[in-house]
Amino acid sequence: MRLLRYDKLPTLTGLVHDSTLRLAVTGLSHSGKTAFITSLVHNLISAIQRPARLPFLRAAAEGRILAARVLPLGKDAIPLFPMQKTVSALSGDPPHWPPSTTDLRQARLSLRFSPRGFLGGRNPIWRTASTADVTVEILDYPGEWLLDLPLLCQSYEQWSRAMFDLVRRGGRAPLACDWLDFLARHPADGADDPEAAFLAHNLYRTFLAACRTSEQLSLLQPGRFLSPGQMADPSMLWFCPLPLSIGGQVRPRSLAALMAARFETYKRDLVQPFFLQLARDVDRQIVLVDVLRALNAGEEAFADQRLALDIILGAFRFGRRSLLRRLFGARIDRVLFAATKADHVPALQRDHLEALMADLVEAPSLRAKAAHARTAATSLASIRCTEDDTDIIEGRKLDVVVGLPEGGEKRIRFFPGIVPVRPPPPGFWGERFTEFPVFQPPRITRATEEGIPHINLDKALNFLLEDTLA
Amino acid sequence: MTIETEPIQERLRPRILQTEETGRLDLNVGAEPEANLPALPTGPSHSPISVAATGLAILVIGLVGIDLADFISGAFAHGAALGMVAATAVAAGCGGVGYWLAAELRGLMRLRSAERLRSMIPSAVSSELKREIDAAAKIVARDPLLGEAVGRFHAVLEPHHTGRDALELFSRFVLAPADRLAEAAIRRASLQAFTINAISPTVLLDTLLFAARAMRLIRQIAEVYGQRPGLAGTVHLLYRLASGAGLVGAVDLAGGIIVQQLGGAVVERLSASAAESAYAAQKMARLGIIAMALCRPIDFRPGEAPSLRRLVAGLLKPGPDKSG
Repeated sequence: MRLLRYDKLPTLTGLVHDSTLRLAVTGLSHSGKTAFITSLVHNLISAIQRPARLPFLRAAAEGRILAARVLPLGKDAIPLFPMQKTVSALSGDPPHWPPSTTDLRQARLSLRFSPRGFLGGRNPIWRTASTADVTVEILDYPGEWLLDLPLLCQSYEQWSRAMFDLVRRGGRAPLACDWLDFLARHPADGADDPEAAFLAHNLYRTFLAACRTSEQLSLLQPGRFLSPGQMADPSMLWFCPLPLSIGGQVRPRSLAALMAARFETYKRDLVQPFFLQLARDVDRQIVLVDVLRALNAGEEAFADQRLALDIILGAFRFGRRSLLRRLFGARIDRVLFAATKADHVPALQRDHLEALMADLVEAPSLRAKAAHARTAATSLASIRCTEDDTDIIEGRKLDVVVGLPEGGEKRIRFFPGIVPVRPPPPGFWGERFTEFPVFQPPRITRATEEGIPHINLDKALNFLLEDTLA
Repeated sequence: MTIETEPIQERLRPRILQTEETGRLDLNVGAEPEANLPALPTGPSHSPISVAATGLAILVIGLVGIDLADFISGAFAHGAALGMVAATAVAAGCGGVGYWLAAELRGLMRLRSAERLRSMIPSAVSSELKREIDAAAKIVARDPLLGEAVGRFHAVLEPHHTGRDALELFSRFVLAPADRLAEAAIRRASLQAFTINAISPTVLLDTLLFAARAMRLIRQIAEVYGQRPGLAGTVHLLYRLASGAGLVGAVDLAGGIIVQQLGGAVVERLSASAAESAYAAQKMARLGIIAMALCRPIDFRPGEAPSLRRLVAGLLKPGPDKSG
């Protein structure tokens, strides 16, 4: 006889509240996406045992999150976020940072909670009976991929000219010498030699990598050259911009024609499907920005990061969620801009970091607000590695942070400089500071009861999930 | 957003300072700090009234002291045993009075301490704010019903939290439950004011009973926020209530007018007596809200103050219980 499982039947509350929320975690490389997702999942699960871990997340603080579990692969077959691996890295001895995001991944978390209001309640019996489930799907991908959005409405000629305008300016120019020398020997209207195209691509990619590592630049196109991810045919990447004359036509069977064909294939087969998926699937977005590193890297890096952010945020459609809009593609109704590595600045300066973040994204915030989406800016450390302290620097008592550097045995005190509350004027920039410390993460236990120390993760989650868990 | 310092034009360079300290940091949520009572302000007052009062008190104490000394020496003149009895009686009486005075003084100081905090918190910078809130938590922790809430607040507060964070957490974890207790006390008092007004045979009795219940409500609310005022504390509270009523009354002005006009009008149609009773309940509720604003260690933030309409409308709704 088949038994009817009453506990599997949806409750009235469940029918009203059950939902799926898709959260996009956006950020350029080393902005802290992997750490954010790991900390989010681990802390939400730990909040059931220890609500004190997330005091600003109302549902957790009120003890309304009843259960949380990581779900297996979803229907859309996006590879799973390697939660086990990241937790292993953080629970190792010594603990170390998990590897960065290199491809599209998804973490799926199911939360059972007790809603507030007439369908929820304080009575424990009624609370148990009136539970609801929400599935939080967290989409993780290299933020660099979003830099390819403008490519969709550019021809190869237009893109090449735009890139050469950039290459000839600031810190990029000296790094591009090898690549430009090679191009000087292989003109654009020369023969369509695949070997030459491949070598030119490699040199261009090396140039982009150097821009990122030595100049801390962010606007590096195409995004997949530095974070390729998995693809069936890597040869579709073997192109690079070429110096083309204004108004000149690409000669058939030339090197430029070969590059242009690969550029179009790249757009059609990689860029377009990714953006279509993104436009369809995202309800909420958190944009993680390593403002502090760019600030210390100098004026050019800071301006470049701002430009890259503008491009990235142009990729998303903002607006209030509605049934009608769901039918024609989801819209993002809440965007949180988070300045990461907040544990690298002492408490008093975190307000400055937050204000600077808000100023940096003022234009996209206004665009989102105009579309009736909610936006906010915060400072955030998904995994807190430091403690605040004070030290005497140049005769002044200043707040510093103390932590153990990764791979080191002795603690260091780090003074991050004075963080300005708005983009600084030209006179502010001094010598670049590139020895930005990497602190060892705290060692966590594999058991989820303890959670992971953080700064403002609970505020971020409250902003992103508040209405879903209400 | 609190921005406490202006950005410095010439930027102080970032730097890394090496130390000899080794080992990982312990970044887990810390243990709950002990809830010692905050140090009370002991600064002398030099106002003319207080100087005169001190002088008068010394005069009275001197007169009473001389009389008692005469009384004891007179008793000793009649015999050593009688003298010992008189001295013991005087010592017991002085001890009792001293204890009562000390309790009164302590209650008054607590009240003053809460008032000082309330005045300092709006202008405190982040680091001071955390200290002030900690002191406020210790005051509220005196209410046995809120001890657990204060414990929860200490459990969630971490060293990296800013002053604003601490204020938000304190409001959410400690003041919100305290407000609920105070609101429940106001509802009970309002209901009783309604009943007193409805059944009292004379206006004089009605007024006396209303005043007594109002006094009790004020003391109950003060106790909710950990202040336990004595006679002097209650007088001080009444004085503050009278002087601050105009200011704090603005909190519920809008709600009050609506209830008074609409609610009163509707009820008046049913019974003039019932309307008077409803008005008495509303007055009691208004008094309670003002007392809450005065006794809270931190001022109400926008949207936090209970509305008169909600309190009066919820008269028959059971709230969290507190004896009285």
